[in-house]
Amino acid sequence: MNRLALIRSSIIFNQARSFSSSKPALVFAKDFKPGPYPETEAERRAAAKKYGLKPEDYQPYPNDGFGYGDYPNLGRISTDMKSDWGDYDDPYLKRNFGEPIVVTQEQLTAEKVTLRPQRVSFSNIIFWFLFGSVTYIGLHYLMWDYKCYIPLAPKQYPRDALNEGEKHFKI
Amino acid sequence: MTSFYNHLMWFTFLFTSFCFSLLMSFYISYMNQALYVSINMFSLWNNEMSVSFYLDYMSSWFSTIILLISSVIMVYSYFYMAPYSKSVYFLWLTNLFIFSMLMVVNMSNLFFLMLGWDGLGLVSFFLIVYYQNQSSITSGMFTLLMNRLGDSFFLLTIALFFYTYPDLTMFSSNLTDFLSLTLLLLTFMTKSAIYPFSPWLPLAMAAPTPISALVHSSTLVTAGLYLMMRFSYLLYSSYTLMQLLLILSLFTSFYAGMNSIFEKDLKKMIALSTLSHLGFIGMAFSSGLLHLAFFHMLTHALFKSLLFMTMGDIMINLNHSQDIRYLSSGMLYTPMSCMVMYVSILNLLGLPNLSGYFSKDLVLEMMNYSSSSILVMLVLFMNVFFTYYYTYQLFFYSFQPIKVLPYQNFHSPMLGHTLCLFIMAISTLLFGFFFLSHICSLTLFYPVPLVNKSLPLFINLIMFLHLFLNTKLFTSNSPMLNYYFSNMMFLSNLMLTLSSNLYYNLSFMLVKSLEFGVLNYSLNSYPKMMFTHLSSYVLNLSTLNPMKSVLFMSSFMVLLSVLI
Repeated sequence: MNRLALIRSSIIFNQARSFSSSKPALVFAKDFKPGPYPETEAERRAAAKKYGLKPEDYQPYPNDGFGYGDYPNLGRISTDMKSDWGDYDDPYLKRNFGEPIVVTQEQLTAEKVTLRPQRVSFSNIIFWFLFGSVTYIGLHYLMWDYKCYIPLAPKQYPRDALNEGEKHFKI
Repeated sequence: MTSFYNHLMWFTFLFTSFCFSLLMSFYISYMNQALYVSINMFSLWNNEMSVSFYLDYMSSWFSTIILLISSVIMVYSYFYMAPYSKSVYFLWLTNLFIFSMLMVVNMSNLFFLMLGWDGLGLVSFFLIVYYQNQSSITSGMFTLLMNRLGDSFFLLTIALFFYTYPDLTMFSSNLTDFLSLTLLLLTFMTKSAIYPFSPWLPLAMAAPTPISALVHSSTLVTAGLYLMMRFSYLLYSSYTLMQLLLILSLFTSFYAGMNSIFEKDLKKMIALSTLSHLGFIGMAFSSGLLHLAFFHMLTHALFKSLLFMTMGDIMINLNHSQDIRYLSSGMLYTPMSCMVMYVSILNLLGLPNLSGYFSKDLVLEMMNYSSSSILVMLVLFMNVFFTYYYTYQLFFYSFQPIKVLPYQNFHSPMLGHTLCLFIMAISTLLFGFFFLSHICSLTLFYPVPLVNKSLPLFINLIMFLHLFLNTKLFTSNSPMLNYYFSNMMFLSNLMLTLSSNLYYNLSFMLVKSLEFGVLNYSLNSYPKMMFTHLSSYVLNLSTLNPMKSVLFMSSFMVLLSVLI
């Protein structure tokens, strides 16, 4: 399915959902607009319900003046970390309608970045990468002067006569 | 809609150009001539900008090979891309790609060469993202960004050259300072995927197979090496850089060979084999074997494109599954392609009197007699061993008991397709012997003892016997070791993780500090009043009467034009 058809179908789907009886809480952009930062436990519960999350899963951004308000912090989960085989409403973002979106969603689409943790830690990756390359290149520089020499002809006399390094006579 | 006639038309055009190019290469290399054509575009003060072509034996033979491969691929892509190519988009992209490669090969003026160079990077991106998967877009993006890195180095080099030699012709510059030579080498290393710029090469396998056959054999990856050879008169002046290039290209060859042992993806394995060969050619170039490196580049282009094309035929019958363990299942239904694949494999192995043998063994001999260090020779022969290993892997899996895939479709290629593969196979078989007569005046030959000469054959025999007797491939039981060597010694992990996290964190910080921070603060102070007043005025106008807003905008435009 091409991108345009996907967007068009998702818009139609969105409209249909908004007028149906099983309308989710979050449909239009105005529904995603964060409210004030929840101070009390009751406010937190209300906010979690608003975004369709369990109260124990709900965690707002710190109230440091950046205006996230009560919008939930959904963590560093990029699109490629979600399953490829899920029956999503929006297969491009791998997301169902009515689900809150990550704040940095436009940076986390599958073609842009992956935040999928590697099998080994990043420090390990850096260490073993540097270990391999530095060892290899360093060994080459260290052993550069140990030549693999195959004589093509018997020794020629007088060798190195100009520098007076060797004498091939006993007089 | 693409019809067969579109493909046939392009085939005819490219094959005719191939014939002309072949005649010209004969003339140029037999007569030992070089042709320089310069067309003046414009002159500004004392600088003359001219489109200039330099045709010597190198550029003419290389463009001949490119034209042969691309004309065959025009027919091949009709068979392969039939369910996908709904328009002439693919054909035009491929032709643009070939055109930009020919520009890189034949152009002498650096400014116009840069157009071809940039065209290669850009068009390769469009070709890699042809299937429009998210994974193909990821790999296309990565390839493009890597190539942009090389382009930026190239732009800096051109700026340096222009500062001293505004002529910008290839052989006019005489800059041998360390900075410009390093920039030049870095540029070519990014295109040729030499360490640390290699992770894009296996990722570029997301492209359709005809494009892989074009990109990974003769065009994109060899453009860097070819320009290295063109600029050898500058690059050979620095011993330090050539020493570094030798070490790095051997390293590239080494980890590509190691990686291909652990790889089970067919196309990726062949891409890694290409990477290993690129390292080999880079090594031959850096140790001074200019013409032999060029020779091996040409033979490699021929047999690798043939290998890719036959693999594509087999993969079609596997429903585009690229798993090497199903290889025999696909080969059963394409016996002709399978036979042609063995021709390519025997060339890769370097069996005597095939073209792979002439180029590769000559390089190995010359390296034996050059005063290289022991470690260089050790790693070189280890790389040769890896080449044998992954080639015999293909043999091994092609003779496995058949495991038919579910829902396997069987396609039979048409006659023209098979004929084209035969043209390629015959040219691959004969090219080495034929081209040797052209460069024999440019290279040195040593008498070699029999033991030395038969060493590669013995390694071949040992590998073959091992596989025949044990019917088992070497594997490692350590998952960590597997992981380390199947990711280019963590090079690809490092590059991908670093680029992802850097982009994500930096852009998040940028939004926080700039958009929410500095800009927010500055716009919220004095200018805010002005902006809000103006915007509310325009808003009011547009909500009240559309005609008024049009009048307002037109008067605004008139005011602007008068002011300017």
